[in-house]
Amino acid sequence: MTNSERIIDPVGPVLQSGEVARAVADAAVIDNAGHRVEVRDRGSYVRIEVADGECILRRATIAEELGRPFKMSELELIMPSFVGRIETGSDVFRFFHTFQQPAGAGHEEALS
Amino acid sequence: MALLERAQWYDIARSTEWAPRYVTQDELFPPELSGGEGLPDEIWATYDEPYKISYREYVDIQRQKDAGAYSVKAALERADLYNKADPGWISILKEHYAAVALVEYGASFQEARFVRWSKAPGMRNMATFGMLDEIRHGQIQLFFPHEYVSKDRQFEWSHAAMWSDNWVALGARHFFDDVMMTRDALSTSIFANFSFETGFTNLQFIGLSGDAAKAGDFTFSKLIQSIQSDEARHAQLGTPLLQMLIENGQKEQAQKKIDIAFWRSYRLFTILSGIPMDYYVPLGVREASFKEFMEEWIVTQFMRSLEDLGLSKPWYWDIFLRDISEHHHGQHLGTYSWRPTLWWDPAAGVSPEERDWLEEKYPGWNDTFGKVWDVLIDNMANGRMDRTVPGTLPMVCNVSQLPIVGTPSRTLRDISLVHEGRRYHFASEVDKWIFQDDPERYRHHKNLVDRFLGGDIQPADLGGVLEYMGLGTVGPGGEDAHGFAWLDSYRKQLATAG
Amino acid sequence: MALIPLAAHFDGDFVLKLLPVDTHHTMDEVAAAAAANSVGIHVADQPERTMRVRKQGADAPYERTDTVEKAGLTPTQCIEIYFE
Repeated sequence: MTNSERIIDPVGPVLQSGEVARAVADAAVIDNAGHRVEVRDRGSYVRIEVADGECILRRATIAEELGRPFKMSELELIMPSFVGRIETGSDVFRFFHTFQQPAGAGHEEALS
Repeated sequence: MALLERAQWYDIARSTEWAPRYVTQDELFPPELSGGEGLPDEIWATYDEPYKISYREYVDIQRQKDAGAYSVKAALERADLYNKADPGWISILKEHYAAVALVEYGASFQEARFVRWSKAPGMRNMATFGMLDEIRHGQIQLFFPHEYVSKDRQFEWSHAAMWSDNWVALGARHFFDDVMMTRDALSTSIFANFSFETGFTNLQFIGLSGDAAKAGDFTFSKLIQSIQSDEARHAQLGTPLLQMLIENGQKEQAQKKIDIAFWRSYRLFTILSGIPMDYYVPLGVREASFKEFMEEWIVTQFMRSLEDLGLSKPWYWDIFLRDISEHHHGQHLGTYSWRPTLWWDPAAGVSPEERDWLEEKYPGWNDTFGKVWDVLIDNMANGRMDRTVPGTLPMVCNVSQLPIVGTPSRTLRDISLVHEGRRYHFASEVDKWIFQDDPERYRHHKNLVDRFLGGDIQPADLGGVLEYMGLGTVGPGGEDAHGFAWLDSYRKQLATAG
Repeated sequence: MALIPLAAHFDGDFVLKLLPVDTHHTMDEVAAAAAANSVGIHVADQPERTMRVRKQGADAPYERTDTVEKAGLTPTQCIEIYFE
């Protein structure tokens, strides 16, 4: 990550790299307007991180970005993991934390 | 296609509670099998699984997952990966399949027990899909290595290892029997779904998939991510149970279950993921070090999920953070030194360039573990091969079942206690704590050294030990993955010095 | 005399090793037996220095002529062997 500021309390899916992952990343930016969105490329997978402890993904937005119909359950095909808790509706997936992490807190001590 | 949205019928479909009239509640759900003592009876109907799926969706998605993985395999089968890939990579496949495939089948029994014994109807429903997931994982991870059996008999271990008394299999079985097969449904879900699956399986099944793709093994990369996409769903079974415990005054019990499962999982993954990531993956394709993957998936991601539930880091957090820089280096030295006891050919991973990488990722490596390798390399470069395999057994931990290792001259020490007249040894303070917390659970098991000293292994020599572990009968044991070709640069140094 | 297994921690080694010894063995003999599993295999030799044996964690070594029996070691107890 080149951005010097650490993203605050990121949540969101970890996806297999590819066309659908790119569409979901673009949809995440649209559906989470006002919140920072980072896409971290880790080779075979990408981490889609939405700041501030909530990430909304809408079926309609992903379908629009993909240019074809999309079912939310299809996300599972390329989602080996995710950060945060999950709610799985037919039209919306939501990743979230219930406990707000204070800014600057976390587990960075081991990362330095 | 005027189907109702899932949310419109889901609650009715999963509501399978009834009041038993011919048996008592405890006969229907015996506490030792169901767990959750002390939780109010009405709580179970409120269990709300976070990751929902209908059977119709499940079949559709799983069919696509299988089609994806099998078609990649079929398309690449003629690419001759076995002969083209680095031998270190092939060793990773051998280690992985044998350590994982049958365990997945065991996991289907774990989920099946939830289907029957869980008191929460929502959990019984979702565990049905989990059970099917794990059957898929068992089958697919037996089918994929099968194409290699005709090329290399060590791949026979993919099916045979867990039936053998090989020491790695003893360690894996002890772990999985403890966390997955022998506890009540509620505890098992916290041990296996929450701690093991949302935590550690990511390391192997996602972390390693990047290395696999870079190493040209797209089949394996696709396979393990496909498997993990099932795990990401059914691993969610444990989270509502943790919430129920916390909200009903059982936070301490919840924390303890996680603390035990977390440490035991971590130590097993030092062998399964730690050694391959830092030594077997060809240097040019390494995505990150084991420590870096641990920091990404465990220190950051898993710990955040604990914190979000209001739980704490395990009490041994400081021990753990130190341990991720050292334990697997000791286990690599051990597995490589006793390589005839392995079902795979270990890569040494200590050429001069690889040592530079290790020193960069683990400052101080050359001055500690590297010193031991200096002695090994000196023997190998000078052709003293008989001096490169020890003539005795390592001491083995009575909890992890792994050799008791440490950083030379710094952290290696014996931790032991005498319980009812028998001395038990531990590879860490945490393993000892796990034993002391529930000695009745662990005291009867005999580790490899106990079996050797107790006369279970005959003849009582290394040959007898190898035979006991199935080496040479189930399949061939291990030798250097690269046929010692990596020694050339050291031999040149010798020649120059001479 | 009787065989007794000990756990050997040879200083500089990375792993504890099983060490069968005889109760009438002296500490010099115990050190030599431990060395056979470690020195020149996992630990560099220091031929000019004497090997000593102590109970794990003890400050002082056993006398070199002490026997295993005299030291009161019990099965699989851990001893440390080091170059003086």
